[in-house]
Amino acid sequence: MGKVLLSLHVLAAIVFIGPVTVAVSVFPRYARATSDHSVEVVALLHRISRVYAVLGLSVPVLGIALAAHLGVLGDAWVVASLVLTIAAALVLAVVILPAQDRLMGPPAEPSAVATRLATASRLSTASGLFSLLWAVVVVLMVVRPGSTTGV
Amino acid sequence: MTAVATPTTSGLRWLGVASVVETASLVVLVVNLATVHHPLVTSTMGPVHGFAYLATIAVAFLLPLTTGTRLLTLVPAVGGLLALHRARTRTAGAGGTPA
Repeated sequence: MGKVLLSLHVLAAIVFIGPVTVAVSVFPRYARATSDHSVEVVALLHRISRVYAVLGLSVPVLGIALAAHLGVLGDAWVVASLVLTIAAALVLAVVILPAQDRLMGPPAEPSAVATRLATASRLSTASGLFSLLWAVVVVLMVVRPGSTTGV
Repeated sequence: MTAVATPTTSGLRWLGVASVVETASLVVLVVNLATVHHPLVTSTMGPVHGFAYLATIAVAFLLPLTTGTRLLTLVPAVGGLLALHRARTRTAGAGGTPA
């Protein structure tokens, strides 16, 4: 059962978190663009971000199940990973997705362009932070500092 | 995006799927616990229920629902179904336009 959970956990991380990472990092570039084409791209990227963010919830759930199965749920590297995962999820749910929502639709009148660019800029920073948090969690998962399990 | 804060039919369908899985998986877990208590059922349906519970909350917060309806999804076991019922009655009561 541990090997099945581990496979599903890694597979879910690749298939669900990967698209979110790409979509949120590319989103600001198309939100700054002004062509009709970019409106459609922005809508698709927003949809990918939202749908795969929900599906991505399966990654920590499978991870917790696996950690409980292995009896390492209280280990420092697992707890640290969980805290960073919650931080990444909050950045996505509280900062990135609402900001994307505000940048949906065609660009407003010229007076709103500055606000739009500022939001897109903040979105770039938040996207970078999201990716960084996930990268640190992946490194923790591989290195597992202080762990003696050979799985 | 429309200005009117009414969840789309497809949005509510996703909330419905997540809610049904949330409740059904818990029923399977409890029945298993009370009867055969097979560890494979527990380790399969446990993560399924956990994911469905979180997905229900996430979907509710992504849809244009009222804060009260969103908070209802936090209720364990049947929160999603309660929120779905509330969202549907509110939408119908407000004269929501069918898609």
